[in-house]
Amino acid sequence: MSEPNDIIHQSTRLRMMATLNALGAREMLEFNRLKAVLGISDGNMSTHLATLEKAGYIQITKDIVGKKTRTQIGLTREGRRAFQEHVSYLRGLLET
Amino acid sequence: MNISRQDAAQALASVEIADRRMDTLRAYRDAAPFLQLWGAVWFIANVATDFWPRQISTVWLLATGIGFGVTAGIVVWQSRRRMRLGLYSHEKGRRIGRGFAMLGITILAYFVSMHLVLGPLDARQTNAFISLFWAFTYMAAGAWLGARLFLTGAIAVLGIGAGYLYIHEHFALWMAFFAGGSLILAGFWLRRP
Repeated sequence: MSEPNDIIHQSTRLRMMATLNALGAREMLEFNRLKAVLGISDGNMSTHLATLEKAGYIQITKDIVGKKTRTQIGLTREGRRAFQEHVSYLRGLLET
Repeated sequence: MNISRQDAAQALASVEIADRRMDTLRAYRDAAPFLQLWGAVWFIANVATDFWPRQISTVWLLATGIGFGVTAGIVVWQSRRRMRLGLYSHEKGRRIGRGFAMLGITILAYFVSMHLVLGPLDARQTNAFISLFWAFTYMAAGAWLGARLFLTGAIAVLGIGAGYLYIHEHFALWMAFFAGGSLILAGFWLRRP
């Protein structure tokens, strides 16, 4: 059985990773859209995104659209693998 | 790190909820341009019907022809986008394209069959009949894809029904603003997270 991932297991980060995992391999989600889906504050978002980015699980890109900065978030290959391993671990726990 | 079975079950449930929510939001995002397109078609064709009732056949033939053409374009665009983003393979994209084509032919065959069974309807009946079909289709799709789509269809059904029963002189204008307008607004609503 694979090991639990304590970075991913925190409840907000788990929902964040699950939401991003539902995207396509090259798809990204805008910051505000992800925030609305999760129903959390800007500050909370930034804290958890920083943790996940530091672990190499997500990538954050910024570009200019019109006159506004658009921040987009997507899972890295490593992040997708780590999330799937953690979910496998959780399923394994229930099966034993 | 120690995770109990209860923690694991709760975590998996939250993953499933997030997954479902993303599926719903994706379905809404994909449905939105179709609703707005056909809302615009309903709006323009009904306004034209009210002002130029003698040109009704030409107006609707032209409007629905453009509508189907743009619909096909959106299907292809969405399919290519999904393939580009890695959401599904080329094979799945082709399969979905074929599915949409078959769906279009089936619906067309349904309307031709209904025309043969029911006989010629007047303009008001035809407008209500075809519009109600689509409004109920949105409700049916919403039963699977999400409450917002279901509610959109339900509001359209009520509006079309009320208009058919109580508005006689400017029914087409009512259909333009109520049915067309509600679809256009629903498209904006569906785009929201």
